Amino acid sequence: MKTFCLTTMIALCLSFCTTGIKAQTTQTKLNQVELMKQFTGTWKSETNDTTYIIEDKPYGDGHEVYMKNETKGKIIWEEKSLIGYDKKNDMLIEAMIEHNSPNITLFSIWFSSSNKYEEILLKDIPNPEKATEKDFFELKSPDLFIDTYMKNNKIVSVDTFKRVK
Amino acid sequence: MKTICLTALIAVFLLFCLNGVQAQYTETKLNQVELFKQWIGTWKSYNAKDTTAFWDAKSYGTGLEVNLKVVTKGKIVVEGKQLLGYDKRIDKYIQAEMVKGMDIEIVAIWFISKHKYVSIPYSDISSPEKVYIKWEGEFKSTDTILETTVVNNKPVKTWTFTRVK
Repeated sequence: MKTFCLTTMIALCLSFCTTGIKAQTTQTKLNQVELMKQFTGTWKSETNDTTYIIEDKPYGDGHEVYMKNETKGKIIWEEKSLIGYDKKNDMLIEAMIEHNSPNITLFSIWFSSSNKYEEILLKDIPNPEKATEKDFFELKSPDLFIDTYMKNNKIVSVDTFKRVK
Repeated sequence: MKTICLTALIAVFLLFCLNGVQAQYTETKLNQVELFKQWIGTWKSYNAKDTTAFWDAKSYGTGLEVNLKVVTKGKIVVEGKQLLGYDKRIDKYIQAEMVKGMDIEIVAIWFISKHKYVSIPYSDISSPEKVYIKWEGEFKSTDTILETTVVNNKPVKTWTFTRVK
């Protein structure tokens, strides 16, 4: 009888704990598709002679993105990408092709909070902590975000993008 | 002495064999980037249920930018975009597809001969022989493509695409 009571008590305790953990997970789960919509629009970053422009248009639940880099009014680099949700991994995937590169690049994107997302190469997803390249995006306000690009855990560049429209 | 001679003879023989295999491989390696140019253009596939699929591919860098739609009785029932780019690491093309209302889909596509290609989900790239679903296609001429969906190694549906322009 004593053993039975103890077992029941442990079972009840575990049941409460599990419910608590589940409720916590449900509360903190971020809606990746909705959060990415904050980045829809045209954004500009200017550094010395160089201007970066990002045009992010909604397409279904995803995004169609065009990015270019101009120096003294001349396009020196441009790329197109598609961003969509990957339900299996609860992440977004970005497929990007550059105008002058023969290769396609696949990235994984996930929001860690309502205004911050991280981007790494899709191939690094099994070991994200070992990714050599990481891009951090932080929305400081609805009209301004900061892009911090890191390589081998060192900051390579920090760009501030302002909303144009 | 006899053993050394025999070992040397075997080593020389293996070396010749290896060179032969390597030469053959170099000769038969397909130029995926060149072969993918066969896709550029607008393609149409019609089936008996008043349904027509349109696939419009434009080149972007060495990749392709595609708009697709499926029309039934004059109404668009499926609409999407694709980006296709070469992945040097696996010597295959990667296709990212965004269909409105659906998640992003990533597949790998590669030519296995000058006119035949295979496509499988990107998640199965490490074990292509074990895939549940794949697509097998053939350019019957410069203006006709036959593409078959294969599920569990059984063909389930074949589309015929003809070039519109």
